[in-house]
Amino acid sequence: MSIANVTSTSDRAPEKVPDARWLGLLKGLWRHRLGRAGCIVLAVLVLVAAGADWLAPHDPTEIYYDYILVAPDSRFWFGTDELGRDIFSRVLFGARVSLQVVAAAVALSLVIGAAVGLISGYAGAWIDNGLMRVMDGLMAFPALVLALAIVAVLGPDLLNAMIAIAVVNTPGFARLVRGETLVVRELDYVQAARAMGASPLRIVARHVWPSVSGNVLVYGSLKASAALITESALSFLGLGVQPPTPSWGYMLATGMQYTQAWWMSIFPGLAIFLTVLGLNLIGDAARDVIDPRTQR
Amino acid sequence: MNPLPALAAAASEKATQSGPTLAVSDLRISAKRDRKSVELLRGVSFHVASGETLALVGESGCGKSITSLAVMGLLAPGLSMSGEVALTDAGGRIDLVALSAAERRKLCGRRLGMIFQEPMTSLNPMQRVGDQIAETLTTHGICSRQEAARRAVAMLDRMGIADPGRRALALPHELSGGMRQRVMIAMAMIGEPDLLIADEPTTALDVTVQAQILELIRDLSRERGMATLFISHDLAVVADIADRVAVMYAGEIVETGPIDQVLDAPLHPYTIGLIASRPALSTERRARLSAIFGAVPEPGRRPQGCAFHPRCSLAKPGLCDVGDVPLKRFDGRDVRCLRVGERVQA
Ligand SMILES: Nc1ncnc2c1ncn2[C@@H]1O[C@H](COP(=O)(O)OP(=O)(O)OP(=O)(O)O)[C@@H](O)[C@H]1O
Ligand SMILES: [Mg+2]
Repeated sequence: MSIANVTSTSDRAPEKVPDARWLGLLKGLWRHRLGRAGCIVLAVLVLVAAGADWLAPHDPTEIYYDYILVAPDSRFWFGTDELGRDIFSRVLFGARVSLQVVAAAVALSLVIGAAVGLISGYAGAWIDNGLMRVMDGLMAFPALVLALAIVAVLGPDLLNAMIAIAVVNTPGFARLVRGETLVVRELDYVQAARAMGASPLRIVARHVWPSVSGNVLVYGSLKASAALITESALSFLGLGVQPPTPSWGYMLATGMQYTQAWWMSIFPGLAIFLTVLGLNLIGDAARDVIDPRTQR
Repeated sequence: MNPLPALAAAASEKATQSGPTLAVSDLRISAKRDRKSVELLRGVSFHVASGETLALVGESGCGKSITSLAVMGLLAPGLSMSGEVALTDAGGRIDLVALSAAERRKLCGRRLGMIFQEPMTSLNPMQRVGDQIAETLTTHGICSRQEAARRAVAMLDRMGIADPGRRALALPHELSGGMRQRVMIAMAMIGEPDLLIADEPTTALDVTVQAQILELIRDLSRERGMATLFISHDLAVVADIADRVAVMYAGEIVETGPIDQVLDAPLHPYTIGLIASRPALSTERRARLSAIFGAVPEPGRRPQGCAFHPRCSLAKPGLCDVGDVPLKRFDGRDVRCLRVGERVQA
């Protein structure tokens, strides 16, 4: 082969390219106007969650007996709750719980769901049938009912709530990825990869997954907001975070029983809203960025 | 190492050089439709020796692509095939039908290379073209990543792409159609295959680019001494590139022989029609430019007797519409027409 006379231009041969995709996605998100807004919102939330110990003016579990249901003022910025705890501090610490649960649950369901979907869609035949029956079975129950049942079996705590949310969300990822895989595996460039002797594993890893991962990320960010809401519901029912650890969902739910103390529900509600907004902004931006044909 | 020296000698005698030869014999492919089995390919046989280019020509739907996919082992799972496909060289004979999936993967890319029809969709839109070219080498562990990347750039250079080092970093949508097809060719060629299959590699391109790509494929297959199976629906396209041609109609080869003979004096009425419908090829008889009336029969709706007889002006009732028509040797070619001898005098 005539490779000896490589021209000098080839000194710039691509070497750093593989795995630069995630970095590229982050860069792209940053360049995207709404994506940047979403990133900032989420970054602030993460910083708040991480730095709650330093940022919070009060201990989130400390009870000020003389300050029950105090409206926001200079001492309690977001007011106090029915037990006299500082809501601002509780919202900060609540970010930690909520983000942890949501991130872990969504990551878990994404990984399992994507693996199931890729195997199912690419292998087809009885493997597909078997896996999809299981996913259908999980999907047959309403999400919250299934999550409740799982927590009821495993016992109420934060880890189990997370597992329950992950299980509930897995079939959605699996179905999405399977559907996309069925389309992508018939594409010409996948056929071309087969013609060059690539193994099924390699084709799935190098061609199918990168082609479907964009939509998975978009879906994942939307699912993250759903997971946040499920987490809130579980915590409200006493099946998630155990009191007195603060959680937005629990705070919101309790606050709704004290309609005259609007600050009890408005601040955790706002926190949930901001998180969901940030996630959705990132999801939409990721969809734009990941498809090179829509890139500007 | 070679248990059958006599057979190998016979094979290399046929070949212009003693390189590998692809032999396909009695290839049949059928599909299940409405619980009935429909024959898409009805016993196709041909061979391509190293350094030689065989063109497979025919109208859309006659079975060209499924023939090439069968050779590559890439037939859709819904299709079933029978017949023999073998690659023979001095080292022996590899039965491509009997291979396991893993054994076949070792051949694909290294001994069998394929260029696809659509340069727009046959490249992964999210990968740099240099990586895609290098993938054949890294898949088979032929060399290190850096070396593969370097060879990919060298390959782009050979494809006549200016500034190959920069182009290797481009995404497919940043390249023109002609350049993408060059990338596809580089992908097929980098593993230095013995057999190159090009399935309508220029159909999606405009005429000037088409000529450049054809020239490139021809030069490469001469330079590397590959056996080349070139598929096209257009006889004009293959006139310059092929040594021999096999004209297909409704899943059968109806005429095969040296390209010049077939173009100058076609024997089968279908071939005659194909050539007559191309003004560039029938310069003397431009006045009689004509299209073949009717349409290709759908698979499963194949007429009795000669598949072409409903569209053939020479068809004789009672002769052409009954029984199967065999390939007959005539004037240095094989022709599937019962009236071939008569017509020459008439
Ligand atoms: N997976 C499949 N299942 C059923 N029928 C198929 C399948 N693939 C191809 N066919 C049929 O086989 C016949 C031959 O198809 P093929 O793709 O080989 O045609 P072709 O000669 O390459 O045509 P073109 O010039 O349009 O590419 C067509 O009638 C087509 O409908
Ligand atoms: Mg075709």
